[in-house]
Amino acid sequence: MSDKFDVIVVGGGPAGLASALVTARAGLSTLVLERGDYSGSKNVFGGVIYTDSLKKLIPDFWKEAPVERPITRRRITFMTDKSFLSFDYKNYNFRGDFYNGFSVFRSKFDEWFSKKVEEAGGMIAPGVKVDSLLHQDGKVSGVKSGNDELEADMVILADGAVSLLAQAEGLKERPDPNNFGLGMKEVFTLSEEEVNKRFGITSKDGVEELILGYPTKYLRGGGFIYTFKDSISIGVIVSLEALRKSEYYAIDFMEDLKEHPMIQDLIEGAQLKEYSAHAIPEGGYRMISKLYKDGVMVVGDAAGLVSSSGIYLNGVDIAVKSGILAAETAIEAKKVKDYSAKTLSLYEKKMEEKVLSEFRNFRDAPYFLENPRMYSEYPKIVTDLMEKIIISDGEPKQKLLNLLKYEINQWDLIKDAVKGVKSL
Amino acid sequence: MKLSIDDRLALLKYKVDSKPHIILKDDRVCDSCQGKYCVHVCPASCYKIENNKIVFHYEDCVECGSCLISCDKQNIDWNYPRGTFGVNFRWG
Ligand SMILES: Cc1cc2nc3c(=O)[nH]c(=O)nc-3n(C[C@H](O)[C@H](O)[C@H](O)COP(=O)(O)OP(=O)(O)OC[C@H]3O[C@@H](n4cnc5c(N)ncnc54)[C@H](O)[C@@H]3O)c2cc1C
Ligand code: SF4
Ligand code: SF4
Repeated sequence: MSDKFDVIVVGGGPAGLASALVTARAGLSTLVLERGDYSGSKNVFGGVIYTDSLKKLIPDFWKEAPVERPITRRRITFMTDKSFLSFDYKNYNFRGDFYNGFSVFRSKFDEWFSKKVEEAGGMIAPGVKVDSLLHQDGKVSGVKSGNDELEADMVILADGAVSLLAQAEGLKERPDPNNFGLGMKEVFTLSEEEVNKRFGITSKDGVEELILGYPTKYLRGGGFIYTFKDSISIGVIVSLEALRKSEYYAIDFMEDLKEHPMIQDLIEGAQLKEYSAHAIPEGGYRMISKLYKDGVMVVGDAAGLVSSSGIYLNGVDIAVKSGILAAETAIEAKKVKDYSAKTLSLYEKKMEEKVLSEFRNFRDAPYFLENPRMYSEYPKIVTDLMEKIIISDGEPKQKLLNLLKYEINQWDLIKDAVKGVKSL
Repeated sequence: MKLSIDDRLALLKYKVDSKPHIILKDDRVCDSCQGKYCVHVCPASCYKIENNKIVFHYEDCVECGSCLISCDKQNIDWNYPRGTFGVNFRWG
């Protein structure tokens, strides 16, 4: 590893690997440095991978990638300690006519993705943590790990949510707890038949569920459930700002959630395989970093790019998208042999066209949880309302809205309901 | 029945570095810190309060970054463990 590379990618997650695949295919000498033992060994998500960008890179990737189940069903659930109310959306096209997303485990999926980069001629060096970037004449000119230095015309920073390197380069500010959530997840194994039975699905289906209210102790954030072939994941994402100032402790959230009867029914007799946690950028548009400077570009979570265009987290797809656009820019830069900020600004232009406009639309509502009613009041209101409608107590039924004896503006309620349905 | 955090962390695979990757810069800053946010946000219970003092150990760290993001006194010298060291997720 003595020669100079065209491109060094720091971080072998989806953003970095997408970049590397594109530059390697175009014949640029490409090296990916990943601090974990292999790609995926440090990574945690819910999770579903949406197919949009990845299938452009690798058509029909699901035929060879370690995917678990196609996601055919999405639920939004409002949960209190004793009840829940769900909106359940199922699309039978998602079984195959049009795969919208797949549940995967990152330890397997990212590793598979890294093999694709190698097949395309890229080099993957696992077990290497980059400590800092090298500079020459004011330009980024390579990376440093321990005492080793490696030179490159361009460096792509794909080092994830807590990008220390982007910070050190002045591309972004110190992380703000308002812009981050803490995600915690547990995975349980069952048999395939039991997963099907407990979720009322077939082996051709998979469920993605977001749960508001109880899982986060009514703090900003949400709980989630995903189904895999013969396992399920259950997790909580809670705003760091809300958590740090609350009376609660991170370590209690999963344990308390598992006491809920709905969750208990799902995991009864299941075997807990792993508990994990990871930070997630959730500031939306306002937290997106500067995307480039002389000799360097930032992609994926490192740039703060987690989509907020609904209530479902979409980090991987956007990571891949940004990775591709940075790589295309690198290819152009190589053609003209100019790696200055001026040339690399093409990346921002591409991002502006394909990604940032969407972010801006949701600037005020990072994944609609910016609206505190969603996780604080509504879970209690809607489940209470259902209870009043359903329980027969001999009393004549009042008009529906009269049942809402809450200090809540009914106009807000209607607006929020429309927003909620739209984001399904 | 609730599991303790130690029971849950015991499911994880670690390769613990002999050198800590996270260091508290100045004990006195922690002593006078009102929020003690690190204790609330750490999902691996690496920060504990013992006799009114913050006690930190890095071995169980899952490298999430929450303490770094939440300590507004900037009293945490935070880094990832050296390459190959630290936690290894198998079901991420
Ligand atoms: C709990 C949770 C649930 C989520 N659920 C979903 C979901 O269901 N669907 C979805 O699409 N997104 C989800 N996300 C978001 C998604 O995981 C991220 O957006 C996505 O992983 C970003 O990809 P990335 O490549 O930018 O970063 P990462 O996947 O974080 O990859 C960064 C890589 O860089 C490596 N690295 C870091 N620093 C260095 C260094 N100095 N030197 C060398 N290597 C380094 C890391 O080891 C890592 O492999 C979730 C996130 C969390 C936390
Ligand atoms: S939040 Fe920071 S200053 Fe306060 S106790 Fe924790 S590490 Fe120390
Ligand atoms: S990085 Fe996360 S797991 Fe490690 S000490 Fe900080 S909060 Fe705890």
